[in-house]
Amino acid sequence: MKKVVILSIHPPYGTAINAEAFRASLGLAFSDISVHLVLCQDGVFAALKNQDPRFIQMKSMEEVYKNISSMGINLYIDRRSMEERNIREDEIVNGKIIDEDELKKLIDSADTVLTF
Amino acid sequence: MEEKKKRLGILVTAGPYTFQHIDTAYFIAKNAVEKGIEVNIFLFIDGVISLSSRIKSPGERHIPTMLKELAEKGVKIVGCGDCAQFRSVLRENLYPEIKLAGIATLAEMVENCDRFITLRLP
Repeated sequence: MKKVVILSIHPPYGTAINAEAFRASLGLAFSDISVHLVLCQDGVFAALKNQDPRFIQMKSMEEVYKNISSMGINLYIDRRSMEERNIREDEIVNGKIIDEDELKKLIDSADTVLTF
Repeated sequence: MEEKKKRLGILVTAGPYTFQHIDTAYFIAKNAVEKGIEVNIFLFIDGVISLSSRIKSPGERHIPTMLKELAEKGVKIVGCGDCAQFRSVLRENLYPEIKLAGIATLAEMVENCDRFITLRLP
C-alpha cells in the first residue's frame, strides 16, 4: 500500500483549496492508499472549533475534520503553524499535533507528497 | 528483458494564462515522453480550465492544443469531472484524446507512478 502525505496549507475559507485537499485525501483513502493529511501554515485554521461560515454561505470545515478518522484519513496539525497563529491545543477539533521533526520524518517516510 | 518504463505523474491545480503551471507541465511532459518516460497528467481545481478547446487566445499559445499534442504523443491527460462541472468545462468541448474522471483516477496515477509532482495554486 502506498503512503501519501498531503500538505494542506490554505485557510478553510476564501479559496476552495483546503476543501479540495480534503476531497483529494478522501478519494485517495477510498482507493486503498494510506493517506496522511497535514494541516500547516493557514491550513491549521480548518481544524478550529466553533466555525460558523453560514453567513458566507459556506459549509463548515470543522464538521469535516471532526469526523475525518472515520474516513480512513490520518490527520496531523503542525505545531509551529499553530503557535505562529496563537492557536491553543484545546481550540483544535481533532488530529495529532506534530512538531517539525515529526513532520520531516512523516514526509521522509512517504512514497508521494501532494501539496495543496 | 525489456526494462519497465518509468512513470511520471503530474498534478496541476492552477488555471491557464493566469499561472504558468500548465506550461511547465507541458514542457516537463514533452521532454519526459521524448526520453521514453510514461507521463500521466491530472488536472484538478482550476487546472481543468486548460482542457476547454473553446478557449480563444489571439496572438498567444493555445494551451488546449498543446495538451492535445501531448495526448497524441501518448501522455494520459485526465481532468477532474466535478471541477469541470463547477467551471462549465463541458465534455463536448474537450478534444477526444482527453477525458474527465473522478479522484479514483488520480489515486490510480499516484499508485502507479514512480514519481509524482504537484504544480499547485500559489
